[in-house]
Amino acid sequence: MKRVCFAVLFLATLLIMGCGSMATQTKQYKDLDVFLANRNIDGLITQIEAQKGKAYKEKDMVLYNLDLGMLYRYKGDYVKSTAHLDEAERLMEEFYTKSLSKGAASLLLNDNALDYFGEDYEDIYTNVFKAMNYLQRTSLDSAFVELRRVNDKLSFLEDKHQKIKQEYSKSDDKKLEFEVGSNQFSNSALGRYLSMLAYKAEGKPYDANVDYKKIEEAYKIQPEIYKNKMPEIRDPLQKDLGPTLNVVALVGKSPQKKARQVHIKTLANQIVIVYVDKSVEDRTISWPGINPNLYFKFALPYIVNEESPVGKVRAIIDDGAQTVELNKIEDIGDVAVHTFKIKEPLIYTKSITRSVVKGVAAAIAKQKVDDEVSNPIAAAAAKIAIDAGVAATENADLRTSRFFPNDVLVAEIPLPEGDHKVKLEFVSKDGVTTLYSEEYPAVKVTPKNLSLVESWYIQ
Amino acid sequence: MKKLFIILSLVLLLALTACGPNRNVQRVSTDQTTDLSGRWNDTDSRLVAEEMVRDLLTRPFVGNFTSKNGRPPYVIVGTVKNLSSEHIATDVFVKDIERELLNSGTVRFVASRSDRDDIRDERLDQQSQATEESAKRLAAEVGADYMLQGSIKTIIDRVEGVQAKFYQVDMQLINIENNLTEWMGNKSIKKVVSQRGYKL
Repeated sequence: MKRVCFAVLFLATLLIMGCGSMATQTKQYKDLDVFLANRNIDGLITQIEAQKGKAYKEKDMVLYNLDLGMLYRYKGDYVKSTAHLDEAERLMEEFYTKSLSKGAASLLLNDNALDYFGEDYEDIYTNVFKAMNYLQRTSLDSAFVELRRVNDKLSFLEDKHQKIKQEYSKSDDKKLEFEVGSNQFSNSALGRYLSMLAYKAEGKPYDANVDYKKIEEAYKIQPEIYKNKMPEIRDPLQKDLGPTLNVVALVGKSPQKKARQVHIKTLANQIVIVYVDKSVEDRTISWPGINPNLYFKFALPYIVNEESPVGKVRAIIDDGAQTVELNKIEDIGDVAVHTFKIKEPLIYTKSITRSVVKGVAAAIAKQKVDDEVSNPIAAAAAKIAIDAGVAATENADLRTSRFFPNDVLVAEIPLPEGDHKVKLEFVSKDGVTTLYSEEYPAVKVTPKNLSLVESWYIQ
Repeated sequence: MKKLFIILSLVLLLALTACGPNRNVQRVSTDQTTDLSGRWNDTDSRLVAEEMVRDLLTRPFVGNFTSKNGRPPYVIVGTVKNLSSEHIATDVFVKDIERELLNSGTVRFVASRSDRDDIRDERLDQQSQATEESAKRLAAEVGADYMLQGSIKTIIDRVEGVQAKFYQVDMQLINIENNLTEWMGNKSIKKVVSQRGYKL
């Protein structure tokens, strides 16, 4: 009896001790809204950096670098931003490779305990924002490298998860077939837009025109991602284009992951999946050999597109001589939601397998407690410890970077050559309140070079 | 009970040993091939430069030029565009080519645009600061006969965790006076990068 009690307590302690790794940490984002409302990026950077090794463990270093990479961008330190985003990209590749080798063995582990190798949208937009950093530093060649990577990654999105599917399928605990969702996102309008700007700055209107056509194509063939009207962009082959000011605004909170509670009830040789919020219909799956009347709980992550308080962004040129409203070119939130669906079936099957295998093991352990522990208080305590241990390891992995914008808005404004005063205003949804405005006293607009102004409002 | 403690100690020992520093630095020869990430590296740069120069020197135009003009051709290196999806230090690659060609003794190089600006500043400075005998003449530079240009492109294919990377390096030598292309060289490198991952 002593042995059973000790083993159960030891197991529970181990699980609870490991809870830090079993749940998504949020300490590093304390008072995030206050920092952002005050545009206190230095304060946020200090807070984030202080959490290295604490809330951001080794397995979370992709997030650490993504968060810092984006914060340094907002600060205007494009060199540091690129360094962090480079490191994030390197780690995404390394952790992904590592996850393949752990594949079958990691099937029963909570995702929170594994190295986070980033969501697909994070992987893609890391390169997009690096390209924007290079454009800000007028390093066109380097911007092109990043934009080519965006296209490479988009071509292989599905394949990335197919490999993980194969690894999971090798597990001895596999009871269900693993599937991967299909990808409909193969062309980023924002990526193409940046490429078009870079080609125009290089004096290559024909190459820029190829990207212009790709933007049109992105809107035409991916309506589930590009729901809005394509922004007004002039064809680079159009005659008399003249000097142009390009304005980019990053708006809205980063897409976030939330947990959906799911219950499993067992019948003889079957399990029934029940979504607590009834967002999905109950589903019965065959599970040969499973006993009836067992009950397990787990949580599944899903991504939500956060609503922004910004209704519109306008650029006011030369104290009101011209006012132009920016239009959305990319909804990063929609891309996040869409690309998450590629791996969602994998997470779903993995989570069900894990909770059933662990739940069955816990049921056996509790039966053993009933059989061997005569003291009812000790037996109850042991069973509570088992349940607590199982519940603690069934949290959804809600890790995701916090500082990507939700939307990217752009405008192309033809202007006479020379210095221009530019003011960007972020206006509330009711059109009454100016939430934030930023002034650029002298933006040089020339026929040859890229004139790019960028601002953000991500709270 | 005892058994459990032994297991626990073993797990802890294993965990602790796995956490310890594990860096090992080894000095190797600079011409040793070290393919770590599968990306473009010093070995690629060296191999492509050697191959390009070997190809260039076996063509008749260098010999023809030398016998016609009584001197080797003067070459300037233009831009080698990185059209790949990797950040490649093209200047390192260009220096590899310059060095190989210069050491072959068959061509001479004119300093690149950025290097020339430094030299010109120095020459101007000499006009007021150096002695008359030692100050170098203005407007006595040698004009290049040819410009070497090129590009590096990549094609990437990927399936089931295996990545095939195809690098294509194209170089051309253009006659500066008449824009005729005198030579075109091409070297391709193919690498297969398997994502088998780490064994723990």
